[in-house]
Amino acid sequence: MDTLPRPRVLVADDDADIRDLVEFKLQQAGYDVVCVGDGLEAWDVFVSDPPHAMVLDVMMPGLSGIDVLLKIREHQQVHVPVLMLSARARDVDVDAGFAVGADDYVVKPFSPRELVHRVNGILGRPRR
Amino acid sequence: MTIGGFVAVAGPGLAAASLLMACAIVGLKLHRTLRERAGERRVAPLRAAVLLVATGEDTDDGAMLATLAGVRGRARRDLDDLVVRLLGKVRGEAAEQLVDLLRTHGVLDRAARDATSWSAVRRERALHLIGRCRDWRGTDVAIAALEDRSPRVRAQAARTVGRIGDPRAARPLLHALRLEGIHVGDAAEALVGLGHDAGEALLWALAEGSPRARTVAAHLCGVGGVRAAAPLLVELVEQDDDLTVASAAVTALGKVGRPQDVGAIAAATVHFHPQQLRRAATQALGEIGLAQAVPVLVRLLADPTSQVAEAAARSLLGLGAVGRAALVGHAHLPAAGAELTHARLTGVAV
Repeated sequence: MDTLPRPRVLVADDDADIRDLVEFKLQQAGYDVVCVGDGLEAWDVFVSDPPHAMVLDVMMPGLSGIDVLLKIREHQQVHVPVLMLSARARDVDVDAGFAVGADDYVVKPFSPRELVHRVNGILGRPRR
Repeated sequence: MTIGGFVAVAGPGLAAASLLMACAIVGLKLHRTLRERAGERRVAPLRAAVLLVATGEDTDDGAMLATLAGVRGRARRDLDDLVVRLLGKVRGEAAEQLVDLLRTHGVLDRAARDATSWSAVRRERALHLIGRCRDWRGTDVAIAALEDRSPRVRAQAARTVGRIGDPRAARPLLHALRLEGIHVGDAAEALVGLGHDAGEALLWALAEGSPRARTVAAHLCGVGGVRAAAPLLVELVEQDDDLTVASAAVTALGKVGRPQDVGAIAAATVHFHPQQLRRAATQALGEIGLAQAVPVLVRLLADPTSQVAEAAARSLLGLGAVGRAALVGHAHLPAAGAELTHARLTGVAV
């Protein structure tokens, strides 16, 4: 019997611990996960093979998460839901994330369980 | 000896010393890098288990936690370093599991001991760890550290008591503000972390605290809606020689003041007071939301200090229909006219 393909999520964060935590948790939740360590790499992956969803850190070397998101939203052909995962917790930071087109915003330190629910949410998947 | 002679004698010595120092720095960095890599190698086989615990995916009986708790030797120290690092990145159930692991390994007991070490660096690190773990058993040690001889340790202790959240720390924290080291912003944030039970301590600080404690307490009484503070705030507005304290108190009165306090706030707008206090009082008259403030604010529209006049116009606009009517009635005054124009441009109904 054919099984449905696992949705692919691109995780971009310059902190290796965060990448490992998010990758591990999303894999457990049934996602294929691709991890990169900076914004430029995230953009390259997006252009070459757009994922089903993205988890983007805001402060990254190369391109910031906001810059990556701006480029993604200018790229009209594909709409990929994006969740920002950032230590910037002030209202203005969250507003800025949504203003440039984020579908959701999670503040660090984060609850891995909540993150999975949020990713499910932006992909319109039922909660486990 | 001539300068040339001195250089000839001392030059080679200085060059050798510089070379030695450069070698020492490179050697230390190399040693640290090698040590970190060795630690990563030792902890690599455990990383999957740590991620399982740190993401809340451990089995119900905590099998992975038990496995990690049994790690011995040098790998345990490296494992604890990794867990502490991850602890700053996750919250909720996952963070609680990591704290359990550190507790099992005796890391928190060690931190409690290190919090009284002779070394200020150790004390600061220990308090940071206690705060990060929100270890309520470290409350007493953290409270004691608010009076530490090192300003850096006192600053860390303030953040730690805020993270632990035990309201017993409120009064010692406010008392410690008489010493340098604790930033008022950190203290205010920590006191917010202590919750409503810190209210009593805020009232104490208004009456008996140092100027910095009075300022923080006044600010928090205002934003926290501590209405019982109003009589003490009036006293500070009327009698405190410290301008920062008086300004914070009048701002707080704008938020928690009673109708009978409008007079005290209005008195602080009188021309012989410093501009900072007059402006804060003018804003407070708008914030308090009572029509009896309108005549005072109308008078202030013509104040020669433009910042006070502008604040009066903004306050009137925020005072509902009565305030807006008064503002329109004085539109010929520059501050009122400018505020009305701004309101119309930004879509505020006037």
